[in-house]
Amino acid sequence: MDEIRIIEIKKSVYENNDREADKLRQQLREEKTFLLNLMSSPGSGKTSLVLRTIEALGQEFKIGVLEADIDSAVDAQTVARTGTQVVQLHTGGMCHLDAGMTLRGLQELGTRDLDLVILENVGNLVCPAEFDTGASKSAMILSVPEGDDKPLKYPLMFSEVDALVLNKIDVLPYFDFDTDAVEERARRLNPNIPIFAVSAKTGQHTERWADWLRGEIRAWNSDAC
Amino acid sequence: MHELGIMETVLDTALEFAKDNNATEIKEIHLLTGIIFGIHQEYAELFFRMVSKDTIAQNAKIVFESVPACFICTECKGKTEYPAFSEKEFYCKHCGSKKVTMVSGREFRIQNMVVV
Repeated sequence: MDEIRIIEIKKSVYENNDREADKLRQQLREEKTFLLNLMSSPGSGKTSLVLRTIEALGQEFKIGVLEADIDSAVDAQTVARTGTQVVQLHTGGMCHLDAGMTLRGLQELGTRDLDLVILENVGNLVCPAEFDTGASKSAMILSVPEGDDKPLKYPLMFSEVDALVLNKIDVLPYFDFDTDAVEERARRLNPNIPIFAVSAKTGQHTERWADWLRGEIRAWNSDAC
Repeated sequence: MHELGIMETVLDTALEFAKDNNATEIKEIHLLTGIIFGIHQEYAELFFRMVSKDTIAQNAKIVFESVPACFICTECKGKTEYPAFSEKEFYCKHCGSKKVTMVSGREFRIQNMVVV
């Protein structure tokens, strides 16, 4: 009878994905393409914010969009109407994108001539936070109707992102949403996070978000020199 | 749902190490999971049964060991451990400050495995 042995592994389940993500990030840096990973719950306004971002930055930067969904192409069709290059990714039931899937989407889109690619991740506040997609920066949206308790319930997402957009501020009067409480809770997880309260629908304050993104894209490109 | 992808990675890694060590059967796989890492253990086991069918790991017992979340206070530099996840807000248990930085609790590691 064979002997029972213990084999030490001590390996993170993310090791392979993290390696692929770093490789992708390096490649994008060389190509001077900034990849933004945009995450949120379903229905928080990712596509609307993407449209506002294209409107604000489309003159300065060549923009492409990766739409990730479990199924359908409605978001891609909406974005394509603006004349922006867009690829729809289907995750086939998976709740998030990893670096491998992102790379395949980028290859289909062709990143060489693009300055900014926005990856609209699968609508979900849990799983996408756990996988490095290879993005230059990550941002999340929390919309007013979702409630101000979300940083308490989904701490990982709030601690991983580089910026937080509070969307749908046009409906604040109708909800018990305490903006100060959200900011405090988010900063406890992520002390220096920039927070932008906007309405992607009316366009209110979306220029503040666009200004932040413009700065990040320029910093990314100058680092590449 | 992310448990599926994660358990596939666990299986691939376990099979790779088993092959390198000439193991004929995997009896147990020990996983270390930080309490902030959201994994549903029952689902994880269920998915592992699915993906490991007809491999040398199909009867492997999955053993979870949880790692507490550890925070360092930015004001008094004190260390606070939270052994379980709750929706309560994290704060420093020494000085009461809410300005704390997480230093562990997010990991998910394949620690070791028992093979024959």
